[in-house]
Amino acid sequence: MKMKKKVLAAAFMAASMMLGITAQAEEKPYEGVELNFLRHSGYDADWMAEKAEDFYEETGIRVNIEQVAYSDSHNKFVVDASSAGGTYDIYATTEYWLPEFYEGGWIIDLQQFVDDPALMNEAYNIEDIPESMLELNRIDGKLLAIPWKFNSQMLVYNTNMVQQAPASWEELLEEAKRQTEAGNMGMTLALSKASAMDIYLNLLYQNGGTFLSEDLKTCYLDTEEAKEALEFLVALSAYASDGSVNNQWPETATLFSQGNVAMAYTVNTQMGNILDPEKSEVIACTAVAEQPGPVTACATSSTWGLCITKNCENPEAAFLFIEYITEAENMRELVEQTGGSTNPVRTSLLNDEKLVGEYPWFSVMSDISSQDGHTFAYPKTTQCTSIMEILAGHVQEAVNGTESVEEALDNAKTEIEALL
Amino acid sequence: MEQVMDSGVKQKKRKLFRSRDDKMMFAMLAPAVIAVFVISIVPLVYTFYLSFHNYILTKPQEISFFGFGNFIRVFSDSAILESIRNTLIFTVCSVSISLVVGVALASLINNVTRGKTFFRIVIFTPMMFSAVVVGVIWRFLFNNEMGILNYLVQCLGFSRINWLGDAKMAMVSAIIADVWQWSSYTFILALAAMEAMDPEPIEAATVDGASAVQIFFRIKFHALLPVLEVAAMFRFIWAFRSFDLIYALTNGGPGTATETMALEVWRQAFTRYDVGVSSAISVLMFLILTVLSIAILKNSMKSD
Repeated sequence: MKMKKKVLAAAFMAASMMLGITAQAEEKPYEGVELNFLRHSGYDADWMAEKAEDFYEETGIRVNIEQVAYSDSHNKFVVDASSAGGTYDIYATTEYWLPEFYEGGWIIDLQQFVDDPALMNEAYNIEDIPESMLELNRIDGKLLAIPWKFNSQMLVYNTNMVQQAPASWEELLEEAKRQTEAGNMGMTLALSKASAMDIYLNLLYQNGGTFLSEDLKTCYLDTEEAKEALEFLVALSAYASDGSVNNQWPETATLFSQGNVAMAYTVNTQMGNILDPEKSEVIACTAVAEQPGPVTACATSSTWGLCITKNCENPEAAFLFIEYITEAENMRELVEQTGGSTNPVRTSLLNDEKLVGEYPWFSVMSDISSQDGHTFAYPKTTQCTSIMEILAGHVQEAVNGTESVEEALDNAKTEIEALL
Repeated sequence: MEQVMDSGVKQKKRKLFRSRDDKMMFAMLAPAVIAVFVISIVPLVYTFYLSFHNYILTKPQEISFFGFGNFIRVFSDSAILESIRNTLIFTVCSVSISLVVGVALASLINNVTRGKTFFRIVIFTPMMFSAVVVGVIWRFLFNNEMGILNYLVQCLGFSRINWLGDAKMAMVSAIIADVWQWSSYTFILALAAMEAMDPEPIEAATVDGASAVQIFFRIKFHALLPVLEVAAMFRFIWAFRSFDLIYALTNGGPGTATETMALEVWRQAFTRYDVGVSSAISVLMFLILTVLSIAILKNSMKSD
């Protein structure tokens, strides 16, 4: 009898242990999975690295985040994704890279996970992400990345030097000239190969121009609008720092934050840099406005999203991480931690009174994203990266004077159409 | 083991392994030879193969034979031709200047009696950095508004120099960065050669009243020549293939002012996704370097 009781007790304990282990396994079904995530460096990269630790505590999924400079990110991913034994599972991508990644078969459709109730938390509320933002990340009906932020470009100006934001190209040029003659630097521009095409395309669209035809076969750089846009840029660069052709966005922001520059074209991600309390001299005197133009104030915009590579052996676990990072509360935390440098795609956050009050450029970003004709997407073609490089190169040549405006645009058009 | 020659004289056929030691030697060398073959020869042959094919990286299943089409494109593309020109300018200038600077430093340090080791370490240090780090360091040094070089230039009363924004100056800046890093290579070789020289001819020349310049050009330089030939060959190969430094410093800009063949190989493959053209440029680089290396080695053997 005693023996029977001992056996029963042992069996009961064993069963309890098994149930405990099973419950734990159900809570953390992907425990022990390790994922490699490649992304460009920046404020939100550091935040994601911290959240990856919290995610690990909750799920047992280890996410190793590798940060590289933005200018290196695309090529590093391509080298890895195009090889059979690629190491990255998750990648932070902008939507205009998606066509080439999709054509290469390097990333997978995320819609299957979004539609899976076992993976998709009801509280996530994907409807909070505007359909227009999701559509930017779709090709052939497949959702290739979940966007978490969108970027666009603005004009920042030092209110100690410039009383009111210029409302036209003429005013902008006049103000830059006046400031330069007064001994300040009128303007700083990011005209490196990684950003020159952004600046030029903004001017093209501000002037009512078009870059490519709808069928993506014809390049419209031979129009009057295109020529005027480049002529304006060349004129403006005369009042910009000499090193502008080699400046990337962070260098431009650093220059502006030192307090000697009157105005700058910048991207919203640099606002944290410009208003960094430890380094900036211009916290109290920085104002933001839309970039003015003859036809419309506007700028090109792009989303940044997270995609899963075909090499990922645990795509469900990878999707759980993407879901975790992009859920509303974490996005709010990201916005606040990055000092508003991250412009969320979620409507609820863009319209949040408290956030808009703390980060006044949100209203500029909201104007850009919500008003018709105030923003343009990059061309959705597999050749987008190459096209941008060609355009950037010739813009640099025109600014440097090694090609005339007409030559630069003709050469760019010829090379781009050869690619198309 | 034996074969009958035309003359009817029987001769022993040479064995591959004449002794057990030969077999052992072959067994020891085989892994290294196989590794070199796999790492070097196989990719080289594959690159040659790809250079004759139309291969788009995003459509690997559509690879097709293209004959000399990629080579024709290389020689008819103005951007690629400019990259060839830039590569030659960069290589010739940086190699020749680094040779002169290296030998000059070696001559100076060779005459130092105290602190020679210290100077040797200091001068050798730049070579320890990776090319990317050198590129990033010099990018900051050359920065138009925030770089220390322009600060010093302005302190001397001159206007700022547009080191990386001006097309001509960008190439000069790339050469400066490369010379800074690689003069130490020539320095180390030249210093070692000078230290190994027989001092008697130099002493005799000094007694005869020869100046330091005469001693250098008439005695030391001839002794240094074999070392300098080898140094020049290696430096030429490295400079010709230089990618990291220029990518980090200028990314081939402004425009295409510092675009080199190595950058073009990378750009064609990973931005344009045209692996065929990228491979054709690689093959061209390989042929140029092979011809040059053979010419230098032959010249070196003749003078021996």
